[in-house]
Amino acid sequence: MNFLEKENSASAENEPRHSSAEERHIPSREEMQRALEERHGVELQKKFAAASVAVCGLGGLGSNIAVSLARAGVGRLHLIDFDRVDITNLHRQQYAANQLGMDKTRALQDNLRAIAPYIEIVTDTVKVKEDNLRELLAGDDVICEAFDHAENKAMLVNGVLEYFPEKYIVAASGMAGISPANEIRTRKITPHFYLCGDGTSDAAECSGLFSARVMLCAAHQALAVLRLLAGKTEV
Amino acid sequence: MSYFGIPVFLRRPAYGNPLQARQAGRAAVRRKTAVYPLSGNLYEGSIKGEHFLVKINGTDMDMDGKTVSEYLALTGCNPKLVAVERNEEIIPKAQYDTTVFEDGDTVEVVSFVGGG
Repeated sequence: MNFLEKENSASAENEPRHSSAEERHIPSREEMQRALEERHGVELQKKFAAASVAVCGLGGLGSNIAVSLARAGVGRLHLIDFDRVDITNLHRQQYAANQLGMDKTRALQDNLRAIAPYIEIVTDTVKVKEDNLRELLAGDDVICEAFDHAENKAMLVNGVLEYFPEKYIVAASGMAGISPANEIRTRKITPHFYLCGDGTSDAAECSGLFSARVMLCAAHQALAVLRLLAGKTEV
Repeated sequence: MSYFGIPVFLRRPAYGNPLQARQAGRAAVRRKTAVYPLSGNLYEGSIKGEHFLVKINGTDMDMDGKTVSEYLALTGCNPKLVAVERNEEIIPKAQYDTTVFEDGDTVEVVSFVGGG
């Protein structure tokens, strides 16, 4: 079901370092917090822990963004997707082969729980539309646009900037194909609108989506979010 | 009142070439003040026939006076796939038909492509 169990069953055939999942030590909330503070500094970790970030779309971009933010100890993640895990997702999205058919919100929540047991995860298994985005995103500080289709991307970016001028949106455009990594970059379009990607590589025109390149773009987005939470607004 | 009839300290520069005009336009944006519109007869004769420019996606374009919708139609952009910002503010979709680009505007039209 989750990463821990999977890893455990694989290692059982060799020399098991732990006899069972039950006996495995899962660190306490305080231990996790201390470890994050040690890495990020107390002040910065406080900012991450106090933030609520929405991830709209839990595919190649969104699932990778969410994993990065969960690992960084962002206090509240709001996961939004209407779709289910499909076999064609596994090559680039953060799901396991035994999660096919599950709602992406539920599957990703399970996977994030295994990584970061104490962060707050809120899920909405819905399609984001012009008429529900105001209600859906009201409680979030930063919104990640991680959709697949260009029209949905434009809809969300315009909607957020129009309805929530105080919030930040970090969007992505152009990460398909196998063009060089260094073409992917982060741009600041307005003080509240950051855009990651190469700007041109369309999934319909390029030959597919490659995990490493989609992850690069997702990492740009996740880093842009963390920088914003840290109060760093330049790119 | 003719241009030459007003005291020197009240005159504003008559931009002789497009580069100077563009720089003045940018300065105006930075100061959040309007050097233009060029109404009245103050500049009559000195700028007649000049085209004033809008910087769109980094390129100076002769789009002064055009609406966002007109620009998108001229360049073949689908309005459903873009976000348009002018001078660091997003232009709401409902205002594409009525928002007119002005000289000195800096505009970015983000055209989204699929993939995620």
